[in-house]
Amino acid sequence: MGAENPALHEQVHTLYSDHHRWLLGWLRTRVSCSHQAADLAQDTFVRLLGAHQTGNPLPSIREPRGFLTTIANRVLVDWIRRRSIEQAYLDALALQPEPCAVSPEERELIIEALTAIDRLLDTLGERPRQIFLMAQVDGLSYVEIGRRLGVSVTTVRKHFIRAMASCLQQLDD
Amino acid sequence: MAVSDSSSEHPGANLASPDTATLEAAAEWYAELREAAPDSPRHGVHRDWLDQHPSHRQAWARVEKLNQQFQTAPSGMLQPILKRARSTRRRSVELLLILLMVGVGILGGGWQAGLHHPLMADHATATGERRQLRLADGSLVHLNTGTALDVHFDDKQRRIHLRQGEIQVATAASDDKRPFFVTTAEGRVRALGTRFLVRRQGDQSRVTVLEHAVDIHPAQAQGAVTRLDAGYQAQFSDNQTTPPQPVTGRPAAWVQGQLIVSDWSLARFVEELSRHHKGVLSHDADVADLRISGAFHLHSTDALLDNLAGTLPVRIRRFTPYWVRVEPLE
Repeated sequence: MGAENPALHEQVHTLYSDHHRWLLGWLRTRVSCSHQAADLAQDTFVRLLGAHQTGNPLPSIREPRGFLTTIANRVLVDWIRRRSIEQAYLDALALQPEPCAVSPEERELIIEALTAIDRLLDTLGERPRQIFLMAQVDGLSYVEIGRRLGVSVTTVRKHFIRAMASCLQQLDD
Repeated sequence: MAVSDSSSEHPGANLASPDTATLEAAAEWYAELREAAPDSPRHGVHRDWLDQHPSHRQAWARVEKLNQQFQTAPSGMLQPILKRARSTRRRSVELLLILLMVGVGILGGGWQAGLHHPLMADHATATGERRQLRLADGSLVHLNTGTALDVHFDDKQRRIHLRQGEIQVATAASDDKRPFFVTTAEGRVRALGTRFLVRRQGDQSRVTVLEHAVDIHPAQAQGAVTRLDAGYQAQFSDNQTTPPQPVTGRPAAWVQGQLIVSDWSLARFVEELSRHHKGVLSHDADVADLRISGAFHLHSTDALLDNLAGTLPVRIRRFTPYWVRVEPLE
Protein backbone atom coordinates (compact mmCIF):
# COMPACT_ATOMS: atom_id res chain seq x y z
CA MET A 1 0.00 0.00 0.00
CA GLY A 2 2.60 2.51 1.13
CA ALA A 3 4.66 2.19 -2.02
CA GLU A 4 1.74 3.58 -4.01
CA ASN A 5 2.44 7.01 -2.65
CA PRO A 6 6.02 7.94 -3.54
CA ALA A 7 5.41 11.67 -2.93
CA LEU A 8 4.41 11.00 0.67
CA HIS A 9 7.41 8.72 1.20
CA GLU A 10 9.68 11.40 -0.17
CA GLN A 11 8.12 13.99 2.16
CA VAL A 12 8.41 11.78 5.23
CA HIS A 13 11.96 10.86 4.32
CA THR A 14 12.91 14.55 4.21
CA LEU A 15 11.21 15.20 7.55
CA TYR A 16 13.02 12.22 8.99
CA SER A 17 16.50 13.23 7.92
CA ASP A 18 16.02 16.88 8.88
CA HIS A 19 14.23 16.52 12.20
CA HIS A 20 14.52 13.00 13.62
CA ARG A 21 17.33 13.90 15.97
CA TRP A 22 15.53 17.02 17.14
CA LEU A 23 12.30 15.10 17.76
CA LEU A 24 14.22 12.57 19.79
CA GLY A 25 15.54 15.36 22.02
CA TRP A 26 12.04 16.79 22.37
CA LEU A 27 10.64 13.42 23.38
CA ARG A 28 13.45 12.83 25.87
CA THR A 29 12.31 15.83 27.85
CA ARG A 30 8.90 14.17 28.16
CA VAL A 31 9.68 10.55 28.88
CA SER A 32 12.42 9.49 31.23
CA CYS A 33 13.71 6.50 29.26
CA SER A 34 15.75 7.13 26.11
CA HIS A 35 14.82 3.78 24.52
CA GLN A 36 11.23 4.75 24.96
CA ALA A 37 11.85 8.13 23.34
CA ALA A 38 13.46 6.38 20.36
CA ASP A 39 10.44 4.08 19.97
CA LEU A 40 8.04 7.00 20.19
CA ALA A 41 9.99 8.94 17.55
CA GLN A 42 9.84 5.88 15.30
CA ASP A 43 6.09 5.53 15.86
CA THR A 44 5.60 9.19 14.97
CA PHE A 45 7.14 8.69 11.52
CA VAL A 46 5.28 5.43 10.98
CA ARG A 47 2.06 7.30 11.68
CA LEU A 48 2.93 9.90 9.04
CA LEU A 49 3.36 7.12 6.51
CA GLY A 50 -0.08 5.83 7.47
CA ALA A 51 -1.50 9.16 6.30
CA HIS A 52 -1.99 7.90 2.75
CA GLN A 53 -4.91 5.85 3.98
CA THR A 54 -6.89 9.03 4.57
CA GLY A 55 -6.33 9.91 0.91
CA ASN A 56 -4.70 13.20 1.81
CA PRO A 57 -1.12 14.16 1.05
CA LEU A 58 0.66 15.99 3.83
CA PRO A 59 0.21 19.76 3.62
CA SER A 60 3.10 21.97 2.59
CA ILE A 61 4.45 22.33 6.07
CA ARG A 62 5.59 25.75 7.15
CA GLU A 63 6.59 24.63 10.62
CA PRO A 64 7.69 21.01 10.34
CA ARG A 65 8.68 20.82 13.99
CA GLY A 66 5.33 22.04 15.22
CA PHE A 67 3.69 19.57 12.88
CA LEU A 68 5.85 16.70 14.10
CA THR A 69 5.29 17.50 17.75
CA THR A 70 1.53 17.49 17.21
CA ILE A 71 1.70 13.99 15.76
CA ALA A 72 4.20 12.96 18.43
CA ASN A 73 1.74 14.18 21.06
CA ARG A 74 -0.88 11.79 19.72
CA VAL A 75 1.61 8.96 19.83
CA LEU A 76 2.48 9.97 23.39
CA VAL A 77 -1.17 10.02 24.46
CA ASP A 78 -1.57 6.47 23.12
CA TRP A 79 1.57 5.41 24.91
CA ILE A 80 0.35 6.93 28.19
CA ARG A 81 -2.91 5.06 27.77
CA ARG A 82 -1.13 1.77 27.23
CA ARG A 83 1.28 2.29 30.08
CA SER A 84 -1.50 3.20 32.52
CA ILE A 85 -3.35 0.02 31.51
CA GLU A 86 -0.21 -2.07 31.82
CA GLN A 87 0.48 -0.73 35.30
CA ALA A 88 -3.10 -1.18 36.44
CA TYR A 89 -3.05 -4.76 35.13
CA LEU A 90 0.16 -5.62 36.95
CA ASP A 91 -1.23 -4.09 40.14
CA ALA A 92 -4.40 -6.13 39.78
CA LEU A 93 -2.36 -9.31 39.23
CA ALA A 94 -0.37 -8.62 42.37
CA LEU A 95 -3.61 -8.38 44.34
CA GLN A 96 -4.78 -11.82 43.24
CA PRO A 97 -4.98 -14.26 46.20
CA GLU A 98 -3.47 -17.07 44.10
CA PRO A 99 -0.37 -16.26 42.10
CA CYS A 100 -1.25 -16.95 38.47
CA ALA A 101 1.28 -17.66 35.78
CA VAL A 102 0.80 -15.60 32.66
CA SER A 103 3.22 -16.08 29.79
CA PRO A 104 4.74 -12.94 28.25
CA GLU A 105 2.79 -13.57 25.02
CA GLU A 106 -0.46 -13.93 26.90
CA ARG A 107 0.29 -10.81 28.89
CA GLU A 108 0.92 -8.84 25.72
CA LEU A 109 -2.42 -9.97 24.25
CA ILE A 110 -4.29 -9.13 27.43
CA ILE A 111 -2.78 -5.65 27.70
CA GLU A 112 -3.51 -5.01 24.06
CA ALA A 113 -7.14 -6.04 24.47
CA LEU A 114 -7.52 -3.92 27.62
CA THR A 115 -6.00 -0.91 25.85
CA ALA A 116 -8.29 -1.35 22.85
CA ILE A 117 -11.37 -1.59 25.11
CA ASP A 118 -10.26 1.45 27.08
CA ARG A 119 -9.90 3.45 23.86
CA LEU A 120 -13.28 2.32 22.53
CA LEU A 121 -15.03 3.40 25.71
CA ASP A 122 -13.34 6.81 25.77
CA THR A 123 -16.13 8.69 24.03
CA LEU A 124 -18.94 7.28 26.16
CA GLY A 125 -20.48 9.21 29.05
CA GLU A 126 -20.23 7.77 32.57
CA ARG A 127 -23.69 6.19 32.59
CA PRO A 128 -23.67 4.43 29.19
CA ARG A 129 -20.18 3.20 29.93
CA GLN A 130 -21.27 1.70 33.22
CA ILE A 131 -24.33 0.06 31.66
CA PHE A 132 -22.30 -1.34 28.80
CA LEU A 133 -19.72 -2.91 31.11
CA MET A 134 -22.34 -4.33 33.47
CA ALA A 135 -23.99 -6.09 30.54
CA GLN A 136 -20.93 -7.01 28.51
CA VAL A 137 -18.50 -7.94 31.29
CA ASP A 138 -20.65 -8.91 34.26
CA GLY A 139 -23.24 -10.52 31.99
CA LEU A 140 -26.15 -8.92 33.87
CA SER A 141 -29.62 -8.78 32.32
CA TYR A 142 -31.16 -5.44 31.39
CA VAL A 143 -33.71 -5.91 34.16
CA GLU A 144 -31.00 -6.47 36.74
CA ILE A 145 -28.96 -3.47 35.56
CA GLY A 146 -32.08 -1.31 35.64
CA ARG A 147 -32.81 -2.47 39.18
CA ARG A 148 -29.28 -1.73 40.41
CA LEU A 149 -29.08 1.69 38.81
CA GLY A 150 -32.68 2.69 39.38
CA VAL A 151 -33.47 3.32 35.72
CA SER A 152 -35.97 1.78 33.32
CA VAL A 153 -35.19 -1.31 31.25
CA THR A 154 -35.81 0.74 28.10
CA THR A 155 -33.13 3.23 29.14
CA VAL A 156 -30.67 0.43 29.89
CA ARG A 157 -31.32 -1.21 26.52
CA LYS A 158 -31.05 2.10 24.69
CA HIS A 159 -27.72 2.99 26.31
CA PHE A 160 -26.38 -0.49 25.69
CA ILE A 161 -27.25 -0.41 21.98
CA ARG A 162 -25.77 3.05 21.58
CA ALA A 163 -22.55 2.09 23.34
CA MET A 164 -22.30 -1.05 21.24
CA ALA A 165 -22.89 0.91 18.02
CA SER A 166 -20.27 3.46 19.04
CA CYS A 167 -17.71 0.66 19.59
CA LEU A 168 -18.58 -0.98 16.26
CA GLN A 169 -18.14 2.31 14.48
CA GLN A 170 -14.61 2.70 15.81
CA LEU A 171 -13.47 -0.83 14.92
CA ASP A 172 -11.82 -1.65 11.60
CA ASP A 173 -13.09 -4.34 9.27
CA MET B 1 -6.03 7.28 -10.29
CA ALA B 2 -9.55 7.53 -11.68
CA VAL B 3 -11.69 10.56 -11.06
CA SER B 4 -15.26 10.10 -9.86
CA ASP B 5 -15.42 6.67 -11.43
CA SER B 6 -18.39 5.66 -9.36
CA SER B 7 -20.82 6.98 -6.83
CA SER B 8 -18.65 5.66 -4.01
CA GLU B 9 -18.77 7.87 -0.94
CA HIS B 10 -15.48 6.47 0.29
CA PRO B 11 -12.84 6.91 -2.36
CA GLY B 12 -9.80 4.78 -1.72
CA ALA B 13 -11.59 2.06 0.22
CA ASN B 14 -11.34 -1.35 -1.40
CA LEU B 15 -14.52 -2.57 0.19
CA ALA B 16 -16.94 -0.02 1.58
CA SER B 17 -17.26 -0.15 5.35
CA PRO B 18 -20.70 -0.89 6.75
CA ASP B 19 -22.66 2.34 7.12
CA THR B 20 -23.93 3.74 10.40
CA ALA B 21 -27.42 2.29 9.98
CA THR B 22 -26.02 -1.22 9.43
CA LEU B 23 -23.75 -0.97 12.46
CA GLU B 24 -26.69 0.21 14.54
CA ALA B 25 -28.76 -2.71 13.29
CA ALA B 26 -25.94 -5.10 14.25
CA ALA B 27 -25.83 -3.50 17.73
CA GLU B 28 -29.58 -3.99 18.07
CA TRP B 29 -29.34 -7.62 17.02
CA TYR B 30 -26.61 -8.20 19.54
CA ALA B 31 -28.64 -6.51 22.29
CA GLU B 32 -31.63 -8.68 21.45
CA LEU B 33 -29.88 -12.03 21.02
CA ARG B 34 -27.93 -11.83 24.27
CA GLU B 35 -31.24 -12.17 26.10
CA ALA B 36 -32.98 -14.49 23.63
CA ALA B 37 -33.60 -18.12 24.55
CA PRO B 38 -31.37 -20.63 22.68
CA ASP B 39 -34.39 -21.99 20.79
CA SER B 40 -35.87 -18.56 19.99
CA PRO B 41 -37.02 -18.17 16.37
CA ARG B 42 -35.19 -14.82 16.40
CA HIS B 43 -31.89 -16.65 15.79
CA GLY B 44 -33.24 -17.77 12.43
CA VAL B 45 -34.36 -14.24 11.59
CA HIS B 46 -30.89 -13.03 12.51
CA ARG B 47 -29.29 -15.58 10.15
CA ASP B 48 -31.57 -14.33 7.37
CA TRP B 49 -30.48 -10.78 8.13
CA LEU B 50 -26.83 -11.83 7.85
CA ASP B 51 -27.52 -13.37 4.44
CA GLN B 52 -29.31 -10.31 3.17
CA HIS B 53 -26.21 -8.27 2.40
CA PRO B 54 -22.42 -8.65 2.66
CA SER B 55 -22.27 -5.50 4.76
CA HIS B 56 -24.45 -7.19 7.41
CA ARG B 57 -21.85 -9.94 7.75
CA GLN B 58 -19.12 -7.34 7.84
CA ALA B 59 -20.85 -5.47 10.65
CA TRP B 60 -21.37 -8.72 12.54
CA ALA B 61 -17.69 -9.57 12.12
CA ARG B 62 -16.99 -6.40 14.10
CA VAL B 63 -19.31 -7.59 16.87
CA GLU B 64 -17.28 -10.80 17.01
CA LYS B 65 -14.05 -8.88 16.98
CA LEU B 66 -15.23 -6.80 19.93
CA ASN B 67 -16.28 -9.92 21.82
CA GLN B 68 -12.90 -11.43 21.09
CA GLN B 69 -11.27 -8.48 22.82
CA PHE B 70 -13.55 -8.82 25.82
CA GLN B 71 -12.78 -12.54 26.00
CA THR B 72 -9.06 -11.89 25.94
CA ALA B 73 -9.29 -9.40 28.79
CA PRO B 74 -9.63 -10.95 32.26
CA SER B 75 -13.29 -10.31 33.07
CA GLY B 76 -12.98 -10.28 36.85
CA MET B 77 -10.31 -7.60 36.80
CA LEU B 78 -11.43 -5.61 33.78
CA GLN B 79 -13.47 -2.91 35.47
CA PRO B 80 -11.04 -2.16 38.32
CA ILE B 81 -8.22 -2.00 35.76
CA LEU B 82 -10.01 0.46 33.50
CA LYS B 83 -10.98 2.58 36.47
CA ARG B 84 -7.49 2.66 37.89
CA ALA B 85 -5.88 3.37 34.52
CA ARG B 86 -8.21 6.32 33.98
CA SER B 87 -7.44 7.82 37.35
CA THR B 88 -3.66 7.47 36.89
CA ARG B 89 -3.96 9.15 33.51
CA ARG B 90 -5.77 12.08 35.05
CA ARG B 91 -2.80 12.65 37.32
CA SER B 92 -0.19 11.98 34.68
CA VAL B 93 2.57 14.55 34.44
CA GLU B 94 3.22 13.71 30.79
CA LEU B 95 -0.38 14.33 29.89
CA LEU B 96 -0.23 17.70 31.60
CA LEU B 97 2.86 18.56 29.58
CA ILE B 98 1.07 17.63 26.37
CA LEU B 99 -1.94 19.76 27.18
CA LEU B 100 0.27 22.72 28.01
CA MET B 101 2.23 22.22 24.80
CA VAL B 102 -0.87 22.14 22.64
CA GLY B 103 -2.22 25.21 24.37
CA VAL B 104 0.92 27.23 23.71
CA GLY B 105 1.01 26.03 20.13
CA ILE B 106 -2.47 27.28 19.43
CA LEU B 107 -1.80 30.65 21.03
CA GLY B 108 1.48 30.98 19.14
CA GLY B 109 -0.32 30.16 15.93
CA GLY B 110 3.00 29.41 14.28
CA TRP B 111 2.17 26.02 12.84
CA GLN B 112 -1.32 26.52 11.60
CA ALA B 113 -0.77 24.49 8.44
CA GLY B 114 0.09 21.43 10.46
CA LEU B 115 -2.57 21.92 13.09
CA HIS B 116 -5.35 22.16 10.59
CA HIS B 117 -4.39 19.18 8.54
CA PRO B 118 -7.12 16.51 8.51
CA LEU B 119 -4.54 13.92 9.52
CA MET B 120 -4.69 15.39 12.98
CA ALA B 121 -8.48 15.36 13.20
CA ASP B 122 -10.56 12.61 14.77
CA HIS B 123 -12.82 12.42 11.71
CA ALA B 124 -12.27 13.77 8.21
CA THR B 125 -13.64 13.61 4.69
CA ALA B 126 -11.65 14.02 1.47
CA THR B 127 -12.74 16.31 -1.35
CA GLY B 128 -15.93 14.93 -2.88
CA GLU B 129 -16.58 12.64 0.06
CA ARG B 130 -19.51 12.89 2.44
CA ARG B 131 -20.03 10.80 5.52
CA GLN B 132 -22.21 10.46 8.56
CA LEU B 133 -21.12 9.88 12.09
CA ARG B 134 -23.23 8.71 15.01
CA LEU B 135 -21.95 10.11 18.31
CA ALA B 136 -21.99 8.26 21.60
CA ASP B 137 -25.06 10.18 22.81
CA GLY B 138 -27.01 9.25 19.67
CA SER B 139 -26.59 12.61 17.93
CA LEU B 140 -26.02 12.39 14.19
CA VAL B 141 -23.38 14.44 12.39
CA HIS B 142 -23.09 14.65 8.61
CA LEU B 143 -19.71 15.72 7.23
CA ASN B 144 -19.71 17.53 3.90
CA THR B 145 -16.77 17.44 1.47
CA GLY B 146 -13.31 18.42 2.81
CA THR B 147 -14.30 18.47 6.46
CA ALA B 148 -12.28 17.71 9.58
CA LEU B 149 -13.52 17.63 13.16
CA ASP B 150 -12.70 16.40 16.63
CA VAL B 151 -15.11 14.99 19.17
CA HIS B 152 -14.64 15.96 22.81
CA PHE B 153 -17.16 14.29 25.07
CA ASP B 154 -16.70 14.23 28.81
CA ASP B 155 -18.75 14.27 32.00
CA LYS B 156 -19.57 17.97 31.67
CA GLN B 157 -20.13 18.60 27.98
CA ARG B 158 -20.56 17.24 24.51
CA ARG B 159 -18.41 19.21 22.12
CA ILE B 160 -17.48 18.96 18.45
CA HIS B 161 -14.60 21.07 17.20
CA LEU B 162 -14.96 21.87 13.50
CA ARG B 163 -11.51 22.45 12.02
CA GLN B 164 -12.58 22.94 8.45
CA GLY B 165 -15.47 22.26 6.08
CA GLU B 166 -19.14 21.92 6.93
CA ILE B 167 -21.31 19.76 9.15
CA GLN B 168 -24.96 19.21 9.87
CA VAL B 169 -25.66 18.34 13.47
CA ALA B 170 -28.90 16.70 14.58
CA THR B 171 -28.76 16.38 18.35
CA ALA B 172 -30.44 13.34 19.85
CA ALA B 173 -33.72 13.83 21.63
CA SER B 174 -32.41 12.33 24.84
CA ASP B 175 -32.29 12.81 28.57
CA ASP B 176 -28.62 13.79 28.33
CA LYS B 177 -28.12 16.81 30.58
CA ARG B 178 -24.69 17.76 29.25
CA PRO B 179 -24.73 20.85 27.01
CA PHE B 180 -23.95 20.32 23.33
CA PHE B 181 -21.49 22.70 21.60
CA VAL B 182 -19.93 23.07 18.20
CA THR B 183 -16.74 25.11 18.45
CA THR B 184 -14.68 26.63 15.64
CA ALA B 185 -11.63 28.90 15.61
CA GLU B 186 -14.09 31.81 15.71
CA GLY B 187 -16.23 30.82 18.67
CA ARG B 188 -18.88 28.56 20.09
CA VAL B 189 -22.38 27.51 19.04
CA ARG B 190 -24.62 26.03 21.69
CA ALA B 191 -27.35 23.68 20.47
CA LEU B 192 -30.76 24.08 22.04
CA GLY B 193 -32.36 20.74 21.06
CA THR B 194 -31.87 21.16 17.38
CA ARG B 195 -30.70 20.53 13.82
CA PHE B 196 -28.29 23.04 12.28
CA LEU B 197 -25.40 23.56 9.87
CA VAL B 198 -22.01 25.02 10.68
CA ARG B 199 -19.61 25.91 7.89
CA ARG B 200 -16.13 27.41 8.09
CA GLN B 201 -15.07 29.82 5.35
CA GLY B 202 -11.84 31.77 5.75
CA ASP B 203 -11.94 33.41 9.17
CA GLN B 204 -15.72 33.25 9.40
CA SER B 205 -18.13 30.59 10.62
CA ARG B 206 -21.64 30.42 9.22
CA VAL B 207 -24.52 28.91 11.15
CA THR B 208 -27.85 27.92 9.61
CA VAL B 209 -30.61 26.73 11.92
CA LEU B 210 -33.05 24.19 10.48
CA GLU B 211 -34.96 23.26 13.64
CA HIS B 212 -35.30 24.89 17.06
CA ALA B 213 -32.52 27.33 17.95
CA VAL B 214 -28.84 27.87 18.79
CA ASP B 215 -26.85 30.46 20.73
CA ILE B 216 -23.72 31.93 19.11
CA HIS B 217 -20.80 33.14 21.24
CA PRO B 218 -17.88 34.64 19.28
CA ALA B 219 -14.66 33.77 21.11
CA GLN B 220 -13.45 37.34 21.69
CA ALA B 221 -16.81 39.04 22.23
CA GLN B 222 -17.16 38.98 26.01
CA GLY B 223 -20.62 37.78 26.89
CA ALA B 224 -22.19 38.76 23.55
CA VAL B 225 -24.67 36.02 22.66
CA THR B 226 -26.86 35.89 19.57
CA ARG B 227 -29.92 33.65 19.63
CA LEU B 228 -30.60 32.23 16.19
CA ASP B 229 -33.98 30.60 15.52
CA ALA B 230 -35.06 28.03 12.92
CA GLY B 231 -35.13 29.42 9.40
CA TYR B 232 -32.33 31.92 10.06
CA GLN B 233 -28.62 32.04 9.37
CA ALA B 234 -25.78 34.24 10.56
CA GLN B 235 -22.01 34.53 10.19
CA PHE B 236 -19.59 35.19 12.96
CA SER B 237 -15.95 36.14 13.24
CA ASP B 238 -14.09 35.83 16.52
CA ASN B 239 -15.45 39.15 17.74
CA GLN B 240 -18.88 39.69 16.20
CA THR B 241 -21.95 38.09 14.70
CA THR B 242 -23.81 39.47 11.66
CA PRO B 243 -27.54 40.15 12.06
CA PRO B 244 -29.65 37.02 11.41
CA GLN B 245 -30.89 36.63 7.80
CA PRO B 246 -33.71 34.37 6.63
CA VAL B 247 -32.46 31.10 5.10
CA THR B 248 -32.80 31.02 1.33
CA GLY B 249 -32.78 27.91 -0.86
CA ARG B 250 -31.86 24.48 0.48
CA PRO B 251 -28.51 24.78 2.24
CA ALA B 252 -28.75 21.26 3.73
CA ALA B 253 -29.44 19.48 0.41
CA TRP B 254 -25.87 18.10 0.40
CA VAL B 255 -26.87 15.77 3.25
CA GLN B 256 -28.93 13.93 0.58
CA GLY B 257 -26.06 14.29 -1.90
CA GLN B 258 -27.66 17.15 -3.76
CA LEU B 259 -26.95 20.74 -4.63
CA ILE B 260 -30.20 22.66 -5.00
CA VAL B 261 -29.95 26.21 -6.34
CA SER B 262 -32.39 28.82 -7.45
CA ASP B 263 -31.33 31.66 -9.74
CA TRP B 264 -27.64 31.51 -8.87
CA SER B 265 -24.95 33.08 -11.04
CA LEU B 266 -22.76 30.48 -12.75
CA ALA B 267 -19.76 31.98 -10.92
CA ARG B 268 -21.32 31.19 -7.54
CA PHE B 269 -22.40 27.77 -8.75
CA VAL B 270 -18.90 26.88 -9.95
CA GLU B 271 -17.41 28.12 -6.69
CA GLU B 272 -19.76 25.93 -4.67
CA LEU B 273 -19.17 22.96 -6.94
CA SER B 274 -15.40 23.30 -6.74
CA ARG B 275 -15.58 22.31 -3.06
CA HIS B 276 -16.73 18.88 -4.24
CA HIS B 277 -14.44 18.56 -7.23
CA LYS B 278 -11.05 16.87 -7.00
CA GLY B 279 -8.72 19.28 -8.76
CA VAL B 280 -9.08 22.74 -10.25
CA LEU B 281 -12.49 23.88 -11.43
CA SER B 282 -12.76 27.35 -12.91
CA HIS B 283 -14.91 29.38 -15.30
CA ASP B 284 -14.43 31.96 -18.04
CA ALA B 285 -15.44 35.53 -17.10
CA ASP B 286 -17.85 35.60 -20.07
CA VAL B 287 -20.10 32.95 -18.54
CA ALA B 288 -19.93 34.20 -14.93
CA ASP B 289 -23.31 35.94 -15.04
CA LEU B 290 -25.36 33.18 -16.64
CA ARG B 291 -28.25 32.22 -14.33
CA ILE B 292 -28.82 28.69 -13.14
CA SER B 293 -31.55 26.86 -11.19
CA GLY B 294 -32.11 23.20 -10.44
CA ALA B 295 -31.30 20.15 -8.34
CA PHE B 296 -27.96 18.47 -9.06
CA HIS B 297 -26.45 15.21 -7.85
CA LEU B 298 -23.11 15.68 -6.19
CA HIS B 299 -21.84 12.11 -6.49
CA SER B 300 -20.12 12.87 -9.79
CA THR B 301 -19.11 16.45 -10.45
CA ASP B 302 -18.00 15.37 -13.95
CA ALA B 303 -21.43 14.05 -14.88
CA LEU B 304 -22.96 17.16 -13.35
CA LEU B 305 -20.77 19.43 -15.50
CA ASP B 306 -21.59 17.49 -18.67
CA ASN B 307 -25.24 17.88 -17.78
CA LEU B 308 -24.69 21.63 -17.43
CA ALA B 309 -23.41 21.83 -20.98
CA GLY B 310 -26.76 20.44 -22.15
CA THR B 311 -28.80 23.22 -20.56
CA LEU B 312 -26.60 26.33 -20.75
CA PRO B 313 -24.63 27.83 -23.64
CA VAL B 314 -21.36 26.55 -22.23
CA ARG B 315 -18.84 23.84 -22.97
CA ILE B 316 -16.71 21.94 -20.49
CA ARG B 317 -13.05 21.94 -21.32
CA ARG B 318 -10.87 19.30 -19.64
CA PHE B 319 -7.18 20.03 -19.83
CA THR B 320 -6.54 17.05 -17.55
CA PRO B 321 -9.05 15.13 -15.45
CA TYR B 322 -8.13 17.45 -12.58
CA TRP B 323 -8.17 20.72 -14.45
CA VAL B 324 -11.59 21.64 -15.76
CA ARG B 325 -12.88 24.94 -17.08
CA VAL B 326 -16.39 26.12 -17.97
CA GLU B 327 -16.21 28.22 -21.16
CA PRO B 328 -18.66 29.96 -23.51
CA LEU B 329 -19.97 27.75 -26.32
CA GLU B 330 -18.43 29.77 -29.15
